[in-house]
Amino acid sequence: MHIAGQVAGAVTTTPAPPSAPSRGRRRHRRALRRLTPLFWLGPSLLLIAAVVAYPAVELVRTSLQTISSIGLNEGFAGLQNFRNLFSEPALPHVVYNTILWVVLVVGVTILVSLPLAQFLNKAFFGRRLVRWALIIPWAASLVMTATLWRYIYEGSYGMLNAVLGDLGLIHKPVYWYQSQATSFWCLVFVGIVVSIPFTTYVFLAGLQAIPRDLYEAAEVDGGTPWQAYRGITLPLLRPALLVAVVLNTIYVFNSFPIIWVITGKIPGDFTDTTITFMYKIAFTYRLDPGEAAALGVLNVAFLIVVVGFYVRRVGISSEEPGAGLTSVGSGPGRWATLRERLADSLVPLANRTRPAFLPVRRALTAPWQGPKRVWASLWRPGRPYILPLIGLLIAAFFALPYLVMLDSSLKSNIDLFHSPALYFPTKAEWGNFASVWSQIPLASYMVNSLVIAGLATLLVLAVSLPAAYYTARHRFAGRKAFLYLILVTQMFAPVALVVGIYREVLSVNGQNTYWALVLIDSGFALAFATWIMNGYLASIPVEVEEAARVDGAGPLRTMLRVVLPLAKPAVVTAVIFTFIQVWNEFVVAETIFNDPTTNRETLTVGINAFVGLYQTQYNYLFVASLIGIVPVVILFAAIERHLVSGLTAGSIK
Amino acid sequence: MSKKSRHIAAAAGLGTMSLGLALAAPAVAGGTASATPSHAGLSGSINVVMAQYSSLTAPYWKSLVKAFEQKYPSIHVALRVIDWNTLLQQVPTMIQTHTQPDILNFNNYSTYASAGLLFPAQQVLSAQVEADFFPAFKKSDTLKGTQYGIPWIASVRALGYNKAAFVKAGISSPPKTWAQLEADAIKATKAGYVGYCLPLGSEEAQAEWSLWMWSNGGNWVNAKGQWAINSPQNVATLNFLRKLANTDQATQPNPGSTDRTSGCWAEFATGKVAMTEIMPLGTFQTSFMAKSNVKWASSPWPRSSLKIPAFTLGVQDVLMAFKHSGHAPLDKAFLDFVYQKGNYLNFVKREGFLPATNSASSALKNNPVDATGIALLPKAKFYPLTNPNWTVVQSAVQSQLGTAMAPGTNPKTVLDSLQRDAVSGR
Repeated sequence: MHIAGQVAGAVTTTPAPPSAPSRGRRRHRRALRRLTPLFWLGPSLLLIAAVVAYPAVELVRTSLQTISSIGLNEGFAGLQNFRNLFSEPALPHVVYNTILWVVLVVGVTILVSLPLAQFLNKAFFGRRLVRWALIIPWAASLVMTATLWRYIYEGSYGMLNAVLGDLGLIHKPVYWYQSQATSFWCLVFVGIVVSIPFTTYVFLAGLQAIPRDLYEAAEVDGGTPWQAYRGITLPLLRPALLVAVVLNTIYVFNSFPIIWVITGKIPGDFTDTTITFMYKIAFTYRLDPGEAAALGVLNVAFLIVVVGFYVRRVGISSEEPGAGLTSVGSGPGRWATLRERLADSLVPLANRTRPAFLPVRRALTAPWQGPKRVWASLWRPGRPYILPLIGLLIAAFFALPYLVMLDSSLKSNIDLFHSPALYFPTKAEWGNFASVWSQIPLASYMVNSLVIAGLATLLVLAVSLPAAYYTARHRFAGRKAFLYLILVTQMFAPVALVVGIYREVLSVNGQNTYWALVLIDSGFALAFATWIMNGYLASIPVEVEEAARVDGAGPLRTMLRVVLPLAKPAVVTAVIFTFIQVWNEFVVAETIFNDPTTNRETLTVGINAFVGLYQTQYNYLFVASLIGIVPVVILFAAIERHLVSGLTAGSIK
Repeated sequence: MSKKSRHIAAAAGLGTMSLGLALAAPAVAGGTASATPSHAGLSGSINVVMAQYSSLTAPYWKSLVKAFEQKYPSIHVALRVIDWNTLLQQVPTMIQTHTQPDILNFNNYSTYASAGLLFPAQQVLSAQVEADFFPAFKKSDTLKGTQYGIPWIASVRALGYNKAAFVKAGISSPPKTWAQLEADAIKATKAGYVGYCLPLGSEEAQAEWSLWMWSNGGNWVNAKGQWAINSPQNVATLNFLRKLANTDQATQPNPGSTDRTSGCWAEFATGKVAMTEIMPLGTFQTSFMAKSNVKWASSPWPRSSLKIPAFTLGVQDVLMAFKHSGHAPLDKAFLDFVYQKGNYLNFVKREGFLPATNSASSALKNNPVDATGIALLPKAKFYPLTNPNWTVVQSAVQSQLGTAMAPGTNPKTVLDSLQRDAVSGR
C-alpha cells in the first residue's frame, strides 16, 4: 500500500510549526509526518491485508491452477480454467440472470425505499411501530429469512397458497419456487423485501440531514411540493443515494443465502447468478475449484468496473477533505453551499433561465389551485387517521412473514405439513420453545454468537475510528486510494474467499478458535463502519477541536475526548451495523468455526442442524430463529433513535 | 523409498499383531467373538472426522472417544462431527489444504483411493473385523483388487404404498411391473391421491434414477465397464417417467425439483401419496412415519419386464483411512474399537440404519423392521462406487437429471450431457 504518501507535506491541515526549527529537526519531523497516516490507518490496513487481501491472492492463484474433483492440486493451468468457464453451456443464461437480478432488486428497492423513507420521516401516531417492523427483516439473518420464505412458497403446505386459495385466486396449489415460470420472481421478491429496510434507513438519515428552513424558504418563494422535492430533496439526497446504490449493488450481486436456500437444490440453473453458479461449479455441478475460482475473479473484476464507473460518475467528492460518502458538505461552509445549490436548482424553475415560459406556467398551475384546496380540506382532518393506517399496513407487510414464523414454530410435525397450510396450529405446542434448548445446545450457540459479535464490534470500532477520523480531517496522498480500498473489500463475496480464508486459518492453527472468527468478521465489517463514521466526523466543525488543541491535547486525545462524544450517534450506528452483520454471518463461521463436539458453532450455523440432510424441522428451526432474532430486535429498538440521527451526517447543534 | 519401507514395516507389525490376536482370542473370558484385539503400547494422536446423521451422532462419538481414550490413555483422538452439507463442501477443501483427517466418514472413496491417498483396509483393520463385513459391501469397496472403503452403514430401498389409498382406488396388490404401476398410479390419482411421488430433485436423484434404470435392464455402465448413461434403454426409462408425469399426470407436479424427504416422504406421511420410493426403516420410519397414522407397507421394486431379476438398491456410507500422516497402527486401534459389536450395534440402532456386518445383523434379526431390510440386502445392487469418476457423476446427476422432466425438454440431451461429464470426469 502506498498510503504513506510519496509527496512531502502531504498532510495539509496540520498547522505549520510556529517557529522554524533547525534543518535536521525539520527533516526528521517531515519524515515522521509522512508516516503519520500509517499510524492512523495501519490497523485497518493490517486487518484488510490479513482478512481480504491474502485470500484474494489465493483466489487468483487457484484460478490459475488445475484442481481435481477431490481437491488435489495438479499444477499450473494457465488460462484453462477460464476457457472451461467460457465453454459452460449455462454461462450466458447465468450472466443474464445476474444482471436481471441486480437491476430489478436494486432498482425496485430504491424506488420503494425513497417514498417509504419520506413517509417515515413524517410524524404520525405509531411511527415507531412501523420502524420496528421494518427492522425485523434486517435483524433476522438471511439464512433464516430465506428458509421462512421457502416454507411460505411451498406447493402443497405453503402458506401463500392457503391464502390465495381461500381468496379464490387459485384453485390448485402453485409450486412457486419449484416451477421454472415463477421461481426467479419469488427470489426477486424476497431480495427486495430484505433490501428495503437498510436502504430506507439510509434515505431516512439523508432526509433528516436536510435542514427544515430550506423547505420553508422554498415555500416562501412559491415553490410547489413537487418542485421542493426535485429542487431540494433529491439533490440533497444524492450522497445517501450513492451509498444506497453502491452498497446495495454489491450486497445484491454477492447475495448467496436467498438463492441458495430457496432454489439452490433444484436441478438446473434457472435461478443461478454468477455467485451461486460459482458455488455450484466448486461443490456440486462440476466439483472444479479451479474453474470456480476463475469465476470468482471475474465476479470481483466485474463489480470493480461497475461500481467504479458509478462512483466516478456520481462522484465521491474526495477533493474536499471531510466530504465522506454520507455527508453533504463539511465544516463551516456547509450551509452556504447548500443554499447555493438550492438557489441553482430552484431558480431555473422560477424565473431565471426561462422567463418566457413563466406566464404559461402560471396559467398551467392555476387550474390546479381548486382541487388542491379540496385535497387540503380533506387531508387536514384525515391526516391523523390516514397516516397511521398506511403505517399499519406497511408494518403488517414487513412483520407478517415473521408472524408466520411464530405461528409455524408452534405447530406439530403433522400440522407443519398439513395441506393446505393451517393458519393456526391445531394445538399450540409451546413446548417447542422449551425442548429446543435440549434438541441443540442453543445456549452455547447464543453465547458463542454474543461473544464473537461483541468482540468483533469492539475491534471494528477500535480499528475504524482512527481511520475514519484521519481520513475525515486530513488530505494526504493515498487518502482516496484508502477509501476505494475499503470499498473494494466489500466486493469480495465471502463465498469466493472461503477456501483462502480456510487455508490461512489452518496455517495459524486458528480453526474453531474465537479469535480467528472475530478477526475475519471484523475485516469484512470494517468498511461500513469506516464509511459511516468518516461521513459523520467530517461534518463536525473543526473549530471544536481547535479549542482542545489550544489546551494542549494531542490528536489522539482530541479524537477520544472531544470528537468521540460528539460522534456518539455515528458510533452507535457503526456498533449496531457491525453487530448485526457479525451476528448473522454464515459462510465463514460455517467453514472455520464448526465443531459440534465442543459446541463451537455460532447460532446461524448451529440451527442448521434442523435443516439436516433428510428433513427440515421447520418448527424447531423457527423457534431457534425467533429466539435468535429477539435479542437483536430489542437491541435495535432500544437504539433506533440514535441510529437515525447517526446516519444523519451533521445533525449536531 | 522411506515411505514405502514404513508401510512395509507397518504391515509387518499388523501381521504379528493379528497373529497374536488369533492366539489370544480363545483365551479371553467367555470366548466372545467380539473380543477386542489388543493395541497396548501405542501412543500418539489421530484426527477423526465423522458425518452427522442426526442430533444423536455427536453425543455418540463423544462418549465413544472418551471410552477409547480411557482404554488407551496414551492415544489421543481429535474428533470432529460435521453435518453432511458442510462435510461435502469441506472434504475437498481439506484435501486442497493437505489437512485431511486420519479417518473420515463419507459416501464415496474411489476417487481418493485412485489418487493414492488411502490406506488399504487391511492395513487399518484386524482380520477379525475384516471378516465380519458382508461380502457384497466388501466387493463394492474394492478397487483393482484392493479394498480401500470400510463399510459403515447401509440402507436399502423399496416401493412404499399407502394401504388405504390402494383400497380406495381398488388396487388389490402392489404392482410388480411398470405397466401395473402406471395403471395403479392412474387409478390412485383418480381416487384423489398423488399416484406415484417421483423425487428427481437434487437430494438423491441418483438413487431414484438407479432404481428405474435397473428395473428396465439399463445401467450406469455397459458390460465393458464404460459409462453408458445415455444408452437407448436409459432414454426409454426417462421417457416412461416423463409419460407418467406429463402425459398420465399420475405424479406430483414438478417431479424434477421434488426432494425425497421434504417432498415425497412428508406428503406420504400426511396420507396424500399412494406410492413412492422408501427406506423400509431408518429416517423414513423414525422421522416421518412414527407419528403418522398412515398405514403403509412396502414391496420390491416393479420392473419393466418380469424377466429382469428382482433387485434392490443398496446405499452404503464408508469410513476411510488417509495415509498422509502414516498412523495406520493408531487407526487400527481406533477402528477395531469402533467395530466392537456393542459399540457398532449401538450406533446402528440409534441411527436406524442397516448394519454392514454379519454379527450386528444377526443381533438385529429379532426386530421385524430391521429384518425386512436385512432380508433385502443379498439382492442389493450398488452405485458404481469403484469408478473414480463416480463423485463427479453423482453430483452431475443430482444437479441436472431433474431438468429432463420438464415438458418440452429433450431427455436425450440431458443424458448426453451427463454422459459427457462422466467420460471427461469433470
